[in-house]
Amino acid sequence: MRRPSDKFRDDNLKLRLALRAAPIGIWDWDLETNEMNYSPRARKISGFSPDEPITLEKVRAVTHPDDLPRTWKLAGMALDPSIRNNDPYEYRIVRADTREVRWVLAHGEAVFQRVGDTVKPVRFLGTIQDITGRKLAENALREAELRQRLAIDAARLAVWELDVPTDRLTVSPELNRMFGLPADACPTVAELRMLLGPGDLDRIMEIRCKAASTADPHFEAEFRCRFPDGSLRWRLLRAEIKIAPTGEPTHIIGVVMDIDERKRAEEQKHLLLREVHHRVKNSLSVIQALATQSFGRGAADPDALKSFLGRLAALAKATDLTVAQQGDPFRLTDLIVGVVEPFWSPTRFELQGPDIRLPARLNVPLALVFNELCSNAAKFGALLKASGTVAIQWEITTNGLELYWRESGGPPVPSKLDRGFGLRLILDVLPVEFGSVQLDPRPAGISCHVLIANPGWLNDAN
Amino acid sequence: MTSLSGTRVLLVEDESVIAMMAEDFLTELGITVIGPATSINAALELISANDIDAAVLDLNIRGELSHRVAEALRLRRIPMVCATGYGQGAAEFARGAPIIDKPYSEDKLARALQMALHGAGGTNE
Repeated sequence: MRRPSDKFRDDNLKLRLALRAAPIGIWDWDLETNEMNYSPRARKISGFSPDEPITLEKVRAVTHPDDLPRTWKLAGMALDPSIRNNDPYEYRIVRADTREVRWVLAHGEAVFQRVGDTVKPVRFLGTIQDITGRKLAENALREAELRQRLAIDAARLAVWELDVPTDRLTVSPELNRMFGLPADACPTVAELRMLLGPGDLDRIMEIRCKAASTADPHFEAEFRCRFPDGSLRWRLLRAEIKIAPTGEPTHIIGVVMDIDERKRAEEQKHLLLREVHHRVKNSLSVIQALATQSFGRGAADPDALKSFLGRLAALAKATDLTVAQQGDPFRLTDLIVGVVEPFWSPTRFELQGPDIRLPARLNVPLALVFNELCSNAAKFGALLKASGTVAIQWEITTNGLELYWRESGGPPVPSKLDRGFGLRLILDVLPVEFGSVQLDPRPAGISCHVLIANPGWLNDAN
Repeated sequence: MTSLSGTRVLLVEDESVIAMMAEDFLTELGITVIGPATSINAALELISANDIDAAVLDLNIRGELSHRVAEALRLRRIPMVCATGYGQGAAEFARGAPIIDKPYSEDKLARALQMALHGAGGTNE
């Protein structure tokens, strides 16, 4: 059996241990003598020297002026016998020694005494603790949250979280806006899925399953959602799948973004491009028809008309390629195959070179060069004979892209070529746009070297 | 190559200058030209009123895709060549019929017609 005095000693010890472990100071205000007693730790927190007498004025002086009215009111409530408030409160002090502003947490409790009919406080004592570190961390967190909030708002993001096993969804109010629902709606997953555009749910689920089975659990998908007015709006979903150690997905956290305007602009651009393409191709067809009617049937040199129509066809091919690529870099192979098509047979052409892309602006001049080489070969060179062949090879060197056209198996080539419009076009006019062209009329067949100088596009496009 | 001479070919093309040129191409190949039809309805009337061996059909007639003409031709098992200014999307329309990009040459038109009438390359007869 422990005696009461043992228990008292025990409690006292525990209290001292607790006080020593926690950086807590003790203050004690005798309201009858107005004497203030501060423990060494309380003095240290407030910036008082170890032995100076503490007065109410000094305590008020170290309280931050902005917090003084509040703490004074709280003290009043603690000392009011009908209230006896003893809630802890936080306030700022300005340390007596360093004038440094610190956050403290105080607990206070008044001791009351009944004298006759009146009850009055005789003593007010409590603890004080410096919580500046915690406060700063809290503020930093709050600011980080605020910044994140602002970023989410600015990016017009809706955040959501899905519990996979139960298929239950937690949403932010913005998600309702994204789906055209009232701000206070609480849609279920099933209801939201009903609002997706045709086929979009299957597509999202497919992408999600693929992501869940790979090392990178992030996925994104564009989808449409049906608004109450029946219109479909484009949204982008980005998400991360959280996977349990067992390998099962547990939940998915993600955002939904409004990309409607962007998608509509893209669609508009695409439509416009197609329309322009259609008109350009139509104009080229009309030019072809006009030329055929104007210069055909003996009205002009049939060879000249044929050359002209060939150039027009090459121009049309180049236009096709620009539209197919939407103005992005095009594949050299696509261009060559397109232009040589009227002269094509599998035994006649041999193409060899790396798969590289060239900027859209090179597409017309190169198409015209290849067309001239082809039509020249068909008139005088290798393509005049069924046994003739053309080898087209290209490689990337320090000079840029070097391309070789080599004819063989054709009739003997005269040492000097007639410098007509076609030759001027490929030797003098077009190379200005990309580099240089050198023609070498060897007896065995025409050979041509095309250099496409590299002002950086090789790195940009490939 | 089998001669196209004597075949009867319907020409559907709304751009009159192009139609004129295509008509010349076909005539030079010895083909009897039905049309040219410059509207979808005109084409449909010509199909129902004439004996036709093949057709050269522009994909886009006055802003409308000429699906109805293609259907009418398929119903009567009349082979066709699809002419188009669009580089893409034509394959879906043509369903295996030869496609020629506008502007097309006489050679190209002749090859496509051979293919439509006699199968790949037009050399299997």
